[in-house]
Formats: sequence, C-alpha cells, structure tokens
Amino acid sequence: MIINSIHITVFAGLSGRDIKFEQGINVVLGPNEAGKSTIFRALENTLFTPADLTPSRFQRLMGHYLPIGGGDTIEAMIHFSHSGENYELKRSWGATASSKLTLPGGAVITDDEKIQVEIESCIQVPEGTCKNVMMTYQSGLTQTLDNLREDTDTQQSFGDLMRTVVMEMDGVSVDAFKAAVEEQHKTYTKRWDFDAEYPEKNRGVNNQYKIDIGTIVKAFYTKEELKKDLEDAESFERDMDKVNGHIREAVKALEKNDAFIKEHKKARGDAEKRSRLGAELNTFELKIEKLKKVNKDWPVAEQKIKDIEIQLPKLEKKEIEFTKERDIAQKAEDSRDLLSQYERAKAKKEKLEAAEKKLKETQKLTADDLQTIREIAAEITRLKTSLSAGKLYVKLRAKKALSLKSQEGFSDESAQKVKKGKTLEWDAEGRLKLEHEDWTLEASSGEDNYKDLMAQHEEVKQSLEKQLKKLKVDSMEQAETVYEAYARLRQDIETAQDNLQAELDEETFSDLEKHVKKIDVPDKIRKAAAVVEDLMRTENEINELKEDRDEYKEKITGWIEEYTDADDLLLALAELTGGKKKKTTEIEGLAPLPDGVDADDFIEKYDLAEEDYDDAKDEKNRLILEKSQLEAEALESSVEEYEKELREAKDAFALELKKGRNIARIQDVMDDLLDEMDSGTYQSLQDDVAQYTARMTDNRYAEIEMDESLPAGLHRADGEVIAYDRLSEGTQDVLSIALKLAMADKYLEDREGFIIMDDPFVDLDPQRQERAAAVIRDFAEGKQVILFTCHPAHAKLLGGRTIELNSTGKKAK
Amino acid sequence: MKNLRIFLTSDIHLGLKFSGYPEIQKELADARFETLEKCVLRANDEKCHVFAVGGDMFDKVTVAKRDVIRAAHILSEFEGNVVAVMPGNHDYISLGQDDLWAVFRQAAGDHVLVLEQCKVYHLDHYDVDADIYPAPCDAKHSSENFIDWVEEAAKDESVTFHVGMAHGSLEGLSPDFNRDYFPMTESELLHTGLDVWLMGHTHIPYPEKPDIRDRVFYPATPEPDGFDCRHEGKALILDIDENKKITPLSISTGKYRFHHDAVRIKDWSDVKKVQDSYTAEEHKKTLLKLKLFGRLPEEDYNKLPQFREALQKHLAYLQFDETEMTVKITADVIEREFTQGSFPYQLLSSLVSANETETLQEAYDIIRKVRS
Repeated sequence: MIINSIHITVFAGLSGRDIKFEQGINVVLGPNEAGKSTIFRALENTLFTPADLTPSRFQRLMGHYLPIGGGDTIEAMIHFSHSGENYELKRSWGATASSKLTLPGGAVITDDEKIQVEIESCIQVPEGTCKNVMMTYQSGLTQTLDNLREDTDTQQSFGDLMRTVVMEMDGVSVDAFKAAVEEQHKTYTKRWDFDAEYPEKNRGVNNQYKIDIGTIVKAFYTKEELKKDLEDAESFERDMDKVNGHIREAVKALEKNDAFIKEHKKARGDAEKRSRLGAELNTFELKIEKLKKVNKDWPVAEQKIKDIEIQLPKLEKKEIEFTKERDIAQKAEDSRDLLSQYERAKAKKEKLEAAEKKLKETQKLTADDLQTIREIAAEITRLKTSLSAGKLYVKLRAKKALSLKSQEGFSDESAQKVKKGKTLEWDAEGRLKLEHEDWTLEASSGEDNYKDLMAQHEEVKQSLEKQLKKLKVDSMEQAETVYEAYARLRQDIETAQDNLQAELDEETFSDLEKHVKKIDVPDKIRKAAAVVEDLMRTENEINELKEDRDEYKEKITGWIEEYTDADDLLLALAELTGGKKKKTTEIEGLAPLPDGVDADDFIEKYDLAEEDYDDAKDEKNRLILEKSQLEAEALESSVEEYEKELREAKDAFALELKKGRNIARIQDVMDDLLDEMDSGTYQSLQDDVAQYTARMTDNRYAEIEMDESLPAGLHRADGEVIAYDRLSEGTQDVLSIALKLAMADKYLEDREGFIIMDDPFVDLDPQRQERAAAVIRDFAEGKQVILFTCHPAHAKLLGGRTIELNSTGKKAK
Repeated sequence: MKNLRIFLTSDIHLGLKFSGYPEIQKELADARFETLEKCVLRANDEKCHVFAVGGDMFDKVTVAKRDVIRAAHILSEFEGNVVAVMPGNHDYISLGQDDLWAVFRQAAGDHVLVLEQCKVYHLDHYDVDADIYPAPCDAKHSSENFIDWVEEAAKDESVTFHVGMAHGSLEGLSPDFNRDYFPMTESELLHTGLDVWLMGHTHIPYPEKPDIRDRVFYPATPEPDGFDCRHEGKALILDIDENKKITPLSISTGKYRFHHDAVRIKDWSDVKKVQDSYTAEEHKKTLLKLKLFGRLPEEDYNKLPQFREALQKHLAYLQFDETEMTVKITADVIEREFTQGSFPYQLLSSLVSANETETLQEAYDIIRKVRS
C-alpha cells in the first residue's frame, strides 16, 4: 500500500486539512504542536479503527480526538493505492459513525469487518505488524532500545538484542511478562505441590504454613479447615446425641424410680411398722399357742401322773417275781450246762482210751527207729556211689565155649554160658568179677580203697539187715509204712487228750463226775433268757413310767411357777388374745404392700429403688455436666451450615487450582517459546541491521557481536567491541534506524509498502545524518517513507516531498 | 367450634450464622426473626386459632439465649388462641434438663405451648376444640420416628379436631440416605386416623400444590437459608371445617431470595439481559450466585466489572463467577493487535491453536497488564 493522501475533516486539533503523499520519501515538517502526531494518528485510525464503536470503546480509542472546541464527530479520509489501483477510505466516528471504502472499480464497502479485510490485503502485513513496525510513531523499537539503554546491568549479545527487539515489538517486555507470570504463578502456587496435589512438604491443615502462601494453598487450608470443622460439628452432634441418649435413659430411670418411690412411700413408711407389728403379732401368737398347749397339757399331765402311780406298784411286784424266777432259771441253766459238759467229757475220754488201746496193738516203729534205718541206707547208698564212680568196660571173646559167673559192682553174681566165638561185653560200675572154674578175673576202677569200701558196704548192709529184722520189717519201705501207721495212732491219742483237756478245763474228770452227782433241778422252768427278757421289759416299763411321771411333775412344777394355777393361765391367755387382736387391727390399718411381696422384701426393694434413684440422679447430673462441657466446645455453626460452606470452599479451591494450572501452562508455553526463539532465528535480521549500521557509521561499526557468550556490542573498526549500553546516543539512534529499516525489509520483503519514522536524526552528527538519509532514500525506492521532523535541515537532507506544517497545523504557504 | 384455622410454619432456624456471607451476615440472621414476626402478623390478620411451628424454630440447641427470648416475645404477640411449638431435630428437647425450651417457656406468654412430650395435648384450656398429638424430637438423629404412640392413644370423641405434629423426613420427599432423620411414610401418618398432620424438616413445601384431599403438610421454610433453597419463603394456612375438609392456603413470606444462575453469553446483549433481569425491583432482596460463561469481544469483556458493580449495587448480595468468561481472542484478533513474530503474538497464537481458552484469557490479561 502506498498512501496517496489524507484529508482530515476534523480530527483532534486539525480540521479541513489535505496532505498529499508520494511514493518514496515524504517529510512532514513542522514545529512542535503543529499537528504532526495528529496527522499520524489520523492516518493510523483511518486505516485501522472501525467506525462502529461502543460508546466506551469510542471513548477509549477516539475520545481524545474529538475537537477541543466541541463537536461530536471525528472524520478523515485516505486515498491509497495498491498494485497501481486506487482506493478511497473514509471514516467518521462519534455521533455519525460510518466507514466507507471505495474500491478501484467503484464498488463501495461500508462494513467495518470487510473493510479491514481489504485493507489488510492491501497492506500485505497483518494490522498488528503494520501498526507496531511500520507505523510506530513513538515506536516500540525505540522503547525497547530505550529500555536497554537504561538497563546498565544487562549485557546482551546482539543476537539477544535482535530477539528482544522483535519479541518486544508490541511493547510487551518478555522479562516483564515473565516476571508478571512468575508473580502470578507465585501468587497462586506458592507452597503448592502439583504432583502431590497437596501443600509442599506435606504441610497439611494441622501444620499449616502461616505466611508466604499462594491462593491455592490458602483455599486448600480454608477447605480443609471447613472439612475439619464439619467433622468436628458432626462429631459434636454425635456426641450430643449420645450424651442426650444417656441423659434420656437416666431421666427415664429416674422417673421410673421416682414413680415407684412416690407410689409406695407411705407403704415404705408403714412397712417397717408392719414388720415390727408382724413380729409382735407373731410373738403373741406363739405365746397364745404355748398357753393353749399348756392349758391342754396340764390336766393331761396330772392325769398321767395319777395313772402312773396306779400302774407302778403292779409293775414293781411283777419285777420282783421275775427276778426270783430268773435266779431259778439261771441256776437250772447252770446245772444243765454242767451236765452237758460231763457228757461230752465222758465221750472224749472214751475216745482217748480207744486210741491208746489201738496203739498198743500196733507194731511199734518209732521215729528214731526209722531214722536209724534211713541213716544206714544212706550210708549204703554213699558207698555204692563211691564204688560206682569208676566205670569199667570189659570185652571177652570166647575162643571156645565156656561157663562162667559174673558180678558187676555190688550186684549179685550171674552165671552164663558162652559159645565159641561169642563175644561178651560188660560195662560195669567200679568192679567186675568173672569167675571160671579155672580162673577168676576181678577188675576194679582203680580206687585205692575199693576193698575197704567193699568191706564197709558189706558191713553196713548187714547192719541194715539186722535192724530190719529187729523191727520185724523186711525193707525200708515197709519200715516207712509201719512207722506211718504208728505215728498216726500216736497223733490220734494226742488229739483225744487235748479235746478232753479242753472240755475239762482245769477240772479233772472225776471232780466233774462228782459235781454232776450233786445236781438237783426242778422240772418245768422257763428258760432264763425268756425270764430275763420279761424282767428287763418290766424294768423298762417301770423306768419309763417313772421318767414320764417325773417329767410331768417337772412340767407341772414349771407351769405352777409360771402361771400359779390353771385359772391364772386362762387369764393370761385371754390377755394375749386381746393383745393379738389389737396388733392385727393395727396391721390392717397400715398401707398395703404390693402383691406377692412381704414387708422385708418390700423394704429392700424400696430402699434399692431409692438408691437407684440417687444413682440415676447423680448419673444424670454427671451427664448434664458432661453435656455442658461439650456444649462449651460447640462450634459456631451447624453441620448443615458447614456443609454449605465446604461446598463453596471446594468450588473456590477448584477455581484457584484451575487458575494456577493455567498460569503454569502459560509458563510452560512461554519457556518452550523462549527456547525455540534463540538468537539464531534472527540471523538475517541481524545481518541487515549490521549492514545498515555499517553504512550509516561508515563502517565504523562493521560487525555486530555474534557470540552470545560475550558481552553485547558492536565491533568498531579498530577492533574494539563496544557494549551496547556504552554506545553513544547517536550510534544508538543509528541502530534504531537500522532496526526499523531491517524490520520493514523483513516484513515487506520486496513488496510495496510504507513506513513512518519520527525524527530519526536527532542525535546523529551531520555525517551520519547524511549517511542515514542516504540509507533511507535507498530504502524508499519502490516503497514509501513518511517521516515526521521539526528540523528543516533533515527534510532537506532527505529530499523527496516535503509537507510543511505551521504551528496551526496548516500547511505552510 | 365450626372450624379450626391453623397457621403452620416450620424450619425457621433462628440463630443461623451465615458465616459464608460476611457482607450481609447480620441482615440474613435478622431476617429470620423479621419473617417470624411477619408470620405472626399474618396469622393475626387471618384470624387463625392456632399458630403451629412444626420443629426447628431454632437452628441448634446451643442457640444464644437472647435469640430464644426474642423468638418467645415474637410468638407472644400472636393474638389467636394458642401457639403450639414443637421441638425439631435441630432444637430437640433434652428431657430432664434445663435447655433452651426452659428459657423459651419462661419468656413466652401463657398461650404459648411447648409440645415436648409424646402425649395428647388438650387445647380446650385455650378454648380450642382440638387435641394435638405431637412427636417431638429428642435428638439430632434417629433411625426411628416417634409417631407409634399416636395410633394407640385414645382419641376423645368429644373433641372435634385431632391434629398430629411431627418432624422428620418423609419417604419419597426428603433426602435421608442414612435414614437417620426420624424417617416416616405418609401411609404411617395417615394410619393414625388423625384429621391432619402438621410437619417440619423438609424445607420445600409439600404438597407442591396443596388441595383439599391432602392431610399431610410441610409448609417449607418461611425464610430461605441458602443457595440450595431456590424457592421463596412459604407458610401455610389450613382451614379445617367440622367435616374435616381442609382448605390449604399457601402464602409467601420471606425477606430474601436466593438465586443461582448460570448463563451462557454469546454477546453483550446476553449480559444486558441478565443485568436487566436482576436489576429489576423484585431483586432488591435477592442473593445471587451468578456464573457467566462464554466469550466476548474485548471491549465488551472490559465492561464486565461495571456489570458486576451494577448488580452488586442493586442486589442484596452477589457471588459472581466470571472465570469462564473470556475475551474472544481469535487468530484475527491476534493479527490485528500484535506484530507477527513478537512474543505475545507467538504465545497467544500457540494457545489459540491448542484451544486453551481460559489459559489464553489469562495470558492475554497479563500481556495487557505489562504492555507499555
């Protein structure tokens, strides 16, 4: 787009102004307050500010362009061309708001949105870019550079500078933005751990950060505190329910016991009386019973005594008789016994005599005799054993028939006939004797005393034979038999003797016989036992009667002592009866007991009820105290209120969290962006700036410091690197111009377009002014530069079309 | 007595703190007393015989003594025969203890009756031909109701009107997930054979449109108490004739209204509509929780503070959530306002591409703040 002209109908302090522009350089020259900036604003707003504004927007955007002297309308018109085609754009703001874009073909657009689309297509850069790069009056570039000039602490590389300039083109300092985001981030997220979704270092509501917290943590604590309050309120209500429940129970128990106590109070009062009266009544009854019994028993006792007195003598008489009879019977018993004894002794005696007789007739063989025989036999046996100790084996073979006798050991001889060639064998014990008519052979086992033994054996054998003969037995066996018979008879005699002795005891048989002869027992007597039995029974009867009599007498004595006589007894009885009746009446007058309960049980029950009542009262009081302690800790609000507040707090917390996340997201996007936008991105821009700078400084500053690690600066021709902040104002202005032109090149490229500059040569020395003017002129070829200045010399330097304004803003004539 | 005219209210919750509304806390707390006064005045105007409070007149048993006395004095102004107040689950009766009801009884007039026991209260002493069968609450929570005794109680046939009063949740009407708010069913209540049941606990009116067939009535709270209470304050006047026909009249009470609104905004005219709506005269006593969401052009977005201010001036209380209102920031807007390649241009373009509207809004706000 090339701006051909602007007609200001009325715009701030200007009215009725026509200013024509050409392609190439256009210098608007005028002193301060001549309206240069007004013209610039008119250009800017006519191109970009829609007419259809809300009152507030109008006020904000256009309000200060209303005519000072009054008026409610602002109006301006621009003619411009694009690709050789001409356009007319007219805008009116305020009371009469309208926009009208006349297209090259004559078509008219009045809709602001559509007009804007057309304008952007003509400008060929977006509105923002155009306004912030091409059309900046007090430019963002300058502002950026001014900020850098003031910031002596920061030494940036030129790459960073370029980056900063481009990024902050819109007057938004990255650092300021970053700081603002960080500030906001801190405001929201201070002390909040997003990963844990909790305050940092686990500092929950019970261990809160007191200071230096963000809104998220604050909202979190508020929420958590309310949660706690809610829990406390719920707990409080539960505890209250519980304690009220207990109080209810205590009150019920209290009321129950109270009702019982009230109902039965009189009865309790009377119960003790009743108990006492009952006891008294009981006493009366017992006494009456006793008296009645006495009254009944007394005459009976007297009568009993009388009966006994009658009965007793009879029995005593009987007793005497029985005693006599007993004596006689006893005597008879004794006699009978004696007689029996005699009979028995006699029998035993006879038995003894028989046994003695038999013994006499038996063959006598005493134990001594038997012993003698045994000893002899034993000796024989011993000798035989000695002789038999040696065994002999003899073998004889007859070469011819022969007869011989043999004797082995102590055995008898035996004769044998042996045939020729026959062999005979002997296995003899100790000795063998063979006897032939022609010879005799005697062999023995070799015992030296064999002969002696043989002689002894013979001797002993003879001795035995002699003994047996003496005892008239044939053998030892027979001797044994005889002895047994003899011994048995002897034993029988001893037994009979013992039996007899036992019967006689210390008496002899003859003495016994004598006693028996003296017995004189009458006939027909009862047995003593029977008599004794009768006697004893009678004695018992007598004793019992006597005892009874004594007992009755004792009773009567006691009664007399107590009651004097029967009449007095009756009187006493009458008195007692009267007393009993009185007591009964008294008892009937008392408050009744509950059914089925006696006085003592009732008293116990009542007293227990009183105790329970007191306990229940104490318990109730304790619970009430507990309740008031609980109430003292009651929270301000109810559960329902806390629930509501908590809901609100949760929403508020969620909101803060969302905001915090949004801010964190902005930070992330910002960081990613800054990482992407390194200084290398702007290398071509940097080169352009360097070129322009070199041209304007006559190569004094030929290079721009490229190494970001070194302090920023320009390389002077002499090699010195001058940090940006130490550049002169003039050099900084050169840089500013170079930047502007380089940025315009960057966005316009080879397309036609315009830039607006504001007094760019102010701090340049004349040489640099010339060079800068040349650079600008070169730039203006094929493009348009509208430059505002109050210096005629600058206008002259630049050449091109000069539009002079006087102090009234009118074109100078 | 040819008819019995009862003014029924409940759940006034005197003593509520409203800590969540610090700007208007006192006014909201006082409003409840004012509404009770209004009810008494209305009951007087309507020549009611009985002023019945179906529970929760007080918000908690530890309510300040001055509040109890104030309530007692208000009720003492009733010009009808008797005021019958039944403890609910918030102001439950504490048997055998000196509780708020002891203070209340002392401060109230002779014709104010506290129904603190499950027994028949004969109103003949107050020249009312009616017996009341109350089931007062004795705790904050209970899984059982106390209306059992009513069915078994002897009904004096010489008395014309038999009126039940109970406080608790009604099956199918009140949310009671744990069944610990003295749960009842309508059939249980009707089974008792009484002429009418005056209820409390649920803060919405029941039946919603009462008519002559109904016997069980929840009047609703006469003064709304939070944003979850969307209806206006209500009370009931019940006229029972000698044939036991009930003519209910629902009346509006209440000083404040709570409104909760969320409006999608497409352009400024939508905002204007909201403003016009809530700056109407009827909303001078409205507490409004308003959320706007949508996108506006910047110049309109910048007017939101004024909009908020206008509402705040008019309404009793405003909770305004504009966090989901964003400036209509599009690629075109970015192109128009920022230089290609500049930091804000790139940052905002990146967020537009990602369709992160809230983050975009936040970033745009910061950019505007730091922009020189």
